[in-house]
Amino acid sequence: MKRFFPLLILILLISLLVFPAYSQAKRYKIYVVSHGGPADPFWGVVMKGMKDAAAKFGVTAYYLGPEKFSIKEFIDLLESAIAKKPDGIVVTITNPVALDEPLRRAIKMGIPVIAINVPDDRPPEKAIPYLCYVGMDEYLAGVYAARRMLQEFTPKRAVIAIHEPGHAGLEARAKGISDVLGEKKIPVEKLDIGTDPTKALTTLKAYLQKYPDTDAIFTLGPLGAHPAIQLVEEEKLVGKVKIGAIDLTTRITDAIKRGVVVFTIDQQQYLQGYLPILFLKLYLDYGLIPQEKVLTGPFVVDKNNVNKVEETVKKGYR
Amino acid sequence: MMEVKSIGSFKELSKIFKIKEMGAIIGFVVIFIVFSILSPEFISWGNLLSTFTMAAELGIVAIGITMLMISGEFDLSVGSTFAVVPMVLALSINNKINPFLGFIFGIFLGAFIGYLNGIVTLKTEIPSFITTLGSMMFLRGILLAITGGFPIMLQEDIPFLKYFGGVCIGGLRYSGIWFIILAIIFAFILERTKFGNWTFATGGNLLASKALGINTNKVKLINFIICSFMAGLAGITTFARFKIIDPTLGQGMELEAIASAVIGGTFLSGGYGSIIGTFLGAFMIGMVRSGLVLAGAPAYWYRAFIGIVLIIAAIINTKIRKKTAG
Amino acid sequence: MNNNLVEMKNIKKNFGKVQALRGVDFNIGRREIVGLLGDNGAGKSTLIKILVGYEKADEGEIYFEGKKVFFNSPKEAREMGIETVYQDLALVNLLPIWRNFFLGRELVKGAFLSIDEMKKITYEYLKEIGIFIRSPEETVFFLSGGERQAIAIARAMYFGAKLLILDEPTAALSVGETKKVLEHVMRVKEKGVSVIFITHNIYHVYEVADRLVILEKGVKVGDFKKEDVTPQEIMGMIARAAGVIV
Repeated sequence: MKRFFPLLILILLISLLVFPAYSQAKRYKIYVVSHGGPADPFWGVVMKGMKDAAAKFGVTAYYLGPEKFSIKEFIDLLESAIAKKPDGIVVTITNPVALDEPLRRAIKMGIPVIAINVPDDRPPEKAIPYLCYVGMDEYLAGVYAARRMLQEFTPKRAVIAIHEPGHAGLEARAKGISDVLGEKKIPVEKLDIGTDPTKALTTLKAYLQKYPDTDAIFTLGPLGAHPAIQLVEEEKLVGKVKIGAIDLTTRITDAIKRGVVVFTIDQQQYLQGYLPILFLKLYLDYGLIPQEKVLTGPFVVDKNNVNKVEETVKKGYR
Repeated sequence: MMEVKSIGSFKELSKIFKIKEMGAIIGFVVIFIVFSILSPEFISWGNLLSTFTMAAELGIVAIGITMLMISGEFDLSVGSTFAVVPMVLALSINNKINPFLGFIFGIFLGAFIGYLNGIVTLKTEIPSFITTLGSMMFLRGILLAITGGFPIMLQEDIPFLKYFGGVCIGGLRYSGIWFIILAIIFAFILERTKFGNWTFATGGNLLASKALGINTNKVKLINFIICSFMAGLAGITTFARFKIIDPTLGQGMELEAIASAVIGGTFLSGGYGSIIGTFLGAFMIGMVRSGLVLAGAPAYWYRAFIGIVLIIAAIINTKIRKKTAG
Repeated sequence: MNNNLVEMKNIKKNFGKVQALRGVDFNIGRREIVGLLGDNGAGKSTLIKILVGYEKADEGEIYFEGKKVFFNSPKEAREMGIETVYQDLALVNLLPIWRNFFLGRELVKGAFLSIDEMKKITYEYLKEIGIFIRSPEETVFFLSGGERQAIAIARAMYFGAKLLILDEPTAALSVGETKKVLEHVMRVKEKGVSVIFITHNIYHVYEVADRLVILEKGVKVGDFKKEDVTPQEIMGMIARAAGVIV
């Protein structure tokens, strides 16, 4: 029994040194809970936005996300955050049904909630009554993509490479594209390419062989963009088949510089970390809050601004 | 099983240390104190109950795996069973099959998975570690194939599910109540029935048990069934809480369940263990998880901390047992 | 004529091409301690396995208390009163004495173990036999080898063994412990139980045995009353039969 006390003291001391939260003075405490984990570079940008805003506005913000995608862990983390009775919660509404009960409870407890990245798409009577949504509108992203492609040229035939059919966000993007192209009576079709890059490449290639008049490929994420870029370069179709992408990676910006990809749509997720912190501070101080949606995207990246964008990617802002 | 004795003389006091759960109890108290100091919200009812809920879902699985481990075998497929059983329930509800039927079928499927794990292990004499590693992957594969990688959402509200995942009194969920009841039941079975004695003996000395006429295969088989059954039941309580199955549900749970058992004093080599210890072990893991969040630790720390807790707990258990020996 | 507890007549057993037993006769009388000796591979364990129902003889008969018997499993042999105490396979070290004592034969009230009763019986029976333990709750792991043997033997006696088969009971024991175990074996005989004492150690068994039987290569090469032979002579016989020139 005697051996325990030094061990206990040791644990306590280490914890005290390591957990500064213990000695915080009264500042607003905000929890950002997301389905995306700390290891994902996409969410790394969101975390940076959150940290920068917290530092700037004198707020303490914590990011919580499961290491591996898991609804159970995500919600357990949310429950822990709610137990902390924070001054505000920022959360991705990845699954409205599962999040409904905990978030309504938090709101009832008086904790303001802002949604980011994924909204609650259910009808207003059913939807979770969060203060507002900060993120991109997926359908609009598709619309912007189609319009930007039309600015470039009028395709004879277009294909939308979807890597996860059934995924609500991707389907919305696809619908935006096909609605706009449909207005112009341009034939457009969705193609299930799957998430495996090698298979995606083969599937796309087969499609182009079947429909040789296809001159526009729309991709809905890096899992579609990277194989498309590889295909167009390998088959020497640069200039003949134009690629329009959604979401941002360095491979895509590089391809834009080389003219392989015409544009990509960025959702500027830095703002999804930054703005909610600012909004909550203003809400807690003065009761001011934007309503409905604050769109962080779609933002078009093309040859005109790609260099500047690349620099900000390197600095972690995109 | 804890025996309440009046603390009179020193002899009585040292008898308390012979309680095999003592290591787990001390660990539990230490963790509780540490996290309460780091964050006053830790002691709030809201947090304790939400922590207990997390612990319950893990703990029900851990109780099952404790029984199996004491009898000398492992089941690495509990995480997959944890997801497959509620998946069956979800699919039957979404396909307009009577939910009770779906529930019964799911529960029996859980037991059946245990039966298969047991039969294959015992007949082929492949180590259970390997058999269940295989079934873990097999079941996870089936889960992914059927769901296509997408979560299954419950399309209707099913009232009886409330008694698995819903809230009972003031924050305490039914899953917590199930956890307590099952812990008591299995503690009794383990410590106070013939089957429990045979379970200890089978894990402690297989050949001696056989020589004394115990049907060790039957003992192990029953424990395999118990283990998977509990995993399926736990999965249903989680499903009832979230009303959604994502195909990654339960991944990694087998190791956390085994960790709960080991932290609670169960030997990896079998023959020794305690249900109450596992109960405390699972609760400790839940406390570490929520405690770290409340203390403001970076998200990455959770796994690292659990690893340390596991090792320290195992050391404490070993030391206490050595000191109070004989 | 038939005051014998056990009579095994003309036992033959083959394992494939190997002739383990080639027609062995083996008798044990009542209240008799018989030492069973022979080198490794002589057939001792096969003979015993047949007696306890672990194996079935290819030819030959077994009589127990004058009646012909045929054991299909160790359980049946045990029910007749034949108990075996193996060296490492007697007790579960991680369990307390009382659980070991009643393992497989637990006392129950309804569905639950009568724990207090079992503890009491364990403590008192062992005391009666002359084995002093601090508490029936003590874990077997912490007992000495001799104490464990004694408890295993006591257990067999408690459950009404008529014939006790001890497999190398003194191997790996200290001199003091060996003495204690041999004393227990004598006490067993006093209680009316017969013993088959399998061992390599002629000196140990010579102290307690009434008769000594030697097997070699599946054949009985010697069956002596203790008074008629010395330990050295026995050892010589075993060595010669094994092909070692003495």
